Amino acid sequence: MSFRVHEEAVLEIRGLAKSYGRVEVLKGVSLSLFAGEILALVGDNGAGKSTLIKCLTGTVSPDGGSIRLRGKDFAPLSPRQSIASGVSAVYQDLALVEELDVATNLFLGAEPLKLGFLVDRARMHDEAGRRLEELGISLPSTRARIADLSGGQRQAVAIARAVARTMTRERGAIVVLDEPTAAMGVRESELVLGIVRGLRERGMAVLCVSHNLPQVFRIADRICVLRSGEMLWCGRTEDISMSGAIALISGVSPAEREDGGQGL
Amino acid sequence: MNRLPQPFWIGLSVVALSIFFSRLSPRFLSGENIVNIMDQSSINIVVAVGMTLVIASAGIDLSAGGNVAVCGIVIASTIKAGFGVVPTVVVALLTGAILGLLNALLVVKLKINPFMATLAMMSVLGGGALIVTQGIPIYGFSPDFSWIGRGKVAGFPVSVLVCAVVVSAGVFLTRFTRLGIYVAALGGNEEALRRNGVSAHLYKSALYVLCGACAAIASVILTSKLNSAEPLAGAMVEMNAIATVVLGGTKIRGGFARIEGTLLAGILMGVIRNGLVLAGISSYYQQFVTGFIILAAIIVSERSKEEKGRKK
Repeated sequence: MSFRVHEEAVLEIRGLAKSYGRVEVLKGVSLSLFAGEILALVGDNGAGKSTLIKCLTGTVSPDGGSIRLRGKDFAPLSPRQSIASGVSAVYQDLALVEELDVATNLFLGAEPLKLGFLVDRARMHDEAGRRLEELGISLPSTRARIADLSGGQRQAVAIARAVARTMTRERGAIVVLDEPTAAMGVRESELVLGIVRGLRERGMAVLCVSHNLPQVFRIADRICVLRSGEMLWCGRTEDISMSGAIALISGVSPAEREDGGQGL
Repeated sequence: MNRLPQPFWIGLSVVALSIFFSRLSPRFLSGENIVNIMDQSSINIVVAVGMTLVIASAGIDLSAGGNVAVCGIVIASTIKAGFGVVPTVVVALLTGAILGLLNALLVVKLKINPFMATLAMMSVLGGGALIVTQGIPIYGFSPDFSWIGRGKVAGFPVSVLVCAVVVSAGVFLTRFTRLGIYVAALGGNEEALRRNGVSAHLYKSALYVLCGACAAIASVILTSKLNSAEPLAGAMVEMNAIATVVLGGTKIRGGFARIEGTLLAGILMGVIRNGLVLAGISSYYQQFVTGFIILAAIIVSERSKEEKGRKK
């Protein structure tokens, strides 16, 4: 964990614990996230990844441990509070309205108004176009309906919205992505990965939950492995091999494991 | 052929049927009769505008007819108590809005399925109207009040002008305000709305209140036209309104609120009714024919959706 010792972490999670009834989902998990990095959180189903994310976005309140955001205690009680603090998440279901167009979805709940009550559609489309362009996202039109877009394009819109919400404190803003390329083809995945890399270049901190290890190894700066609610390993991507990661995730130790995980 | 929006086909049907009916009866296309059709359609269209909002949000209001009946009784009582037209209309609007709010509370707070909640309310309101009046209509209002249903301004019946205002307000709300966006979002993905920090409950409630207010406006026109408050006046009002909404292209499972489509569909239903009467065909056929037209409209709109799905 000597990654960028000179830089303070944007997000510091220490000893985070959460139980649902008798089931301990998080058993004192610690994690640091820095600006301008992509941190991949990997682990099998039920490892506690979703719960960890939910603690960050205010949908679940942890039982123990601490979360510090930019050096201050952070305990969001609702998604709204979490977004206001610069932590925005894109869930797998994307939360887009298919019937509405791209711009309307980008600004859902935060539509620009004129005269205080009229939706300023011209400005909405202008700004939507500008924001998508900044992120290097190309779509047929900001007037295209979500229903007419591909999976990758939809993910792009959802990411753009998450980024737009945290725009106010861009440096050190945190974007949480839950399986951003699930069920996507190669070309679509590349599109999304390109956008995620773009976020890193803009100095954002990206926490990406994924099952897709080949992709994780391509884009992540660091990898953290969760298993049964415990953080088994956190370190630089180059310090662990794919088979090592698989062994950690599954708990099955393969005979020919090339040991890169010094964290063990 | 399905690329064209449903309102286009409704408009085309209005024209085609008008030509057909004018063949059967030359009086059909007279200026007097056209105004007549608009006048007869106004009540249904007013209810249907409110219904469009609720249906687009993936809800429904089956209690609209009961609401019309109850508002009628409230109007009659208010006038009989000696109040003027303006206070009477205000009281009616408040009554309609409160009944709408009641629906909203059932749906939003008690989380009862809108169909069941408003079905129960339909029964409660319809039964209540019968209990209060003992089934006997209340007659005899001031001529001032009759003006709303029978008067004219610049050649247009007041009811048509009121209807025009309600339709314009509906178009304005859905096209230019946040409510319009949230109606579609409620119908499409309520959770998305919530996740983005919008109070889905607040906006959903507003829609039921607006729908109740529309029923109240319709009740004012109807009570004034009949010059009596009929406890059974609301029968089939909600069914006709729902049919009009669906015919107008608003999807029954929610999505965009197509107020313009509702207007055209309301005119189409008026044309059918009026045309059949002028052609000397029994009015019983009206309901029968309307049913087939609604079926055709639904088949067309479902097929166009399928085709789009295949294209992807």
